[in-house]
Amino acid sequence: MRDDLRWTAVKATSALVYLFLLAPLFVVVAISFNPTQFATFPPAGFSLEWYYDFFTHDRMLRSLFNSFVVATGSAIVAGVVGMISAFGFVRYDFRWKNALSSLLFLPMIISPVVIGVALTTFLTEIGMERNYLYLIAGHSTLVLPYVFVTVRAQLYRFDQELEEAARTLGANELETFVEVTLPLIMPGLGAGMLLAFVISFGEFTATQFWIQPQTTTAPIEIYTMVRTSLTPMINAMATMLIVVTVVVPLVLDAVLGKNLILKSA
Amino acid sequence: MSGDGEPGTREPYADRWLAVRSRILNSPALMNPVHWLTGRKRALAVAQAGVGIFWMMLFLLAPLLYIFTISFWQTGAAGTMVQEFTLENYYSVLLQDVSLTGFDVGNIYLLVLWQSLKFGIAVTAITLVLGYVPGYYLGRSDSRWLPVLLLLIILPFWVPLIVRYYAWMLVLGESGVLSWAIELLGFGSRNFLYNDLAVISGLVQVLLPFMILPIYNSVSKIEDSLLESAKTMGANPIRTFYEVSLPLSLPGVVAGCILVFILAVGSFLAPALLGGPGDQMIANLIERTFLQGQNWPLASAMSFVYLVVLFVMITAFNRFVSLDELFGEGS
Repeated sequence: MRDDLRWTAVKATSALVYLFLLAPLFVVVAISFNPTQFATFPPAGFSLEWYYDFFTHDRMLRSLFNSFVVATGSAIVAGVVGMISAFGFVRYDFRWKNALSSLLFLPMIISPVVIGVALTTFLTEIGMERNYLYLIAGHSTLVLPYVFVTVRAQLYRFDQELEEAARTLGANELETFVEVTLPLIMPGLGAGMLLAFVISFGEFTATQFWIQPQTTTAPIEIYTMVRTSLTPMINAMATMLIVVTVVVPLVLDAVLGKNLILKSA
Repeated sequence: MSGDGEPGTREPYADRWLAVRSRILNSPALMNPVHWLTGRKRALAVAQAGVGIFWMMLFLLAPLLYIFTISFWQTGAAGTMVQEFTLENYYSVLLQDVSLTGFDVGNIYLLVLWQSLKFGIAVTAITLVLGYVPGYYLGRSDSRWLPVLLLLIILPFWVPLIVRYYAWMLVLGESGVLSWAIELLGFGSRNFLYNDLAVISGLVQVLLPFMILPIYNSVSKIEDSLLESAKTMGANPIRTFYEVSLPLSLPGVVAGCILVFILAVGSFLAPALLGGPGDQMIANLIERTFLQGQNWPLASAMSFVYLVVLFVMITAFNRFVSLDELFGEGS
């Protein structure tokens, strides 16, 4: 009986932490439909005015588009690079393997401000233009560890006899990879790339060093708005970012039925 | 591809597509380099692992080395750099005291660094207290909603940081949720923003998943039989917790603490959005020196001292858990 009571207390405390974690996001969504000029809680009514503003605002749409391009590019680059190197690290033994794999985790530890400063200084020195590729190079570096980790975890569980079977049945190395290996590691790769997309899409701290007016991303626009003009359009845009980073992956997950999101944890 | 009612039509299509793939994958143009590589196990290993290593060397190590070099250069007029050796940047980062309107305020960099570490410790401690119970709950729960409950922890982590801190501003702000709540209780409206508590609570709010998930990982690995046998041997639930569950959940606790501490100390957005002028942290100081001050050598020296402090701390932590284990399983 007292055990039950204790477990109920654990549940209740957990519920409160969940509330603390999730409630602010619902506040943003609720306030985005608020008709008044100033963000007040509770909302004073229902209006789509700020969404209309957002969807007719060229600069905001442009920044959202930029974020899409950069996040997609980074997910692909980090996906390819992360997958290939995960193969190297799981399937072969070489000297300093542990130290070298730590190198691939480095972007998770170093503050994005330092990475931002270092890469800007370096790329300015070699004279790279501040375009999409600049941002994709930077973001791929930031998200590479996530793809590496998820693919590596998948590869550790991989049954290599399946590849041997394919080879025995006459498939060459490439066919084995494309027809057998790739489909089997797809859940890990998919989860890693999804995570890479989402992180790149929302990255602010390092990105502020890397943009120029033409390549400004959505998080930068939100930051500028929060710091300068507190227009209610921020709420609409913030809600759109929540939709892109939460609802889209959830729908993908449900459609593909692969539990990609839980695998990314 | 409409397979409704005529399932047979799918087969030839799939067969043809397989044939196309097979022809591509058997083409000499592709297979010759592959054979060349597979014949050399060593070259293949280098080629595969090397891709990631090379990427990090080019886009991370080389830039870090470059700013290390720059940190010894002089600053010229209007944000230019003079390539002559100087220790002046490190002198001003570590030793130079600043006085404002006659008051000696001490060394700005060290003050801000110390403030960041203090915030980091406070955030880690609070996150541990708040995160342990849900982590434990998720690890021991046999609810069929468990996947959903886990998803609810992971999803906020996906939302852009800027949106999450902005959401916290709406909670703490002048006409925000908290102000509304205390008005209901009969107090006047208040602004809870722009102080150290706002920064700390914001960081806790954002970093909680990094504490909960590793703890969940450790707790879920505890065998039920261990707890059963403790019970059979007569330990009461509290003793079972302290002597069995708690020690076995420690790897998760350590992993969570390290992650949260590192992320909190390096935070830029929390102090920028939630803090007042006196709550700035190390990332804000570096950003201001680099972007507003256009003093790249000084910003580089600041980055380097911070990196060294961080790595000394991580190495100290690392004696308890290896980083590889931490990131391989923890996150």
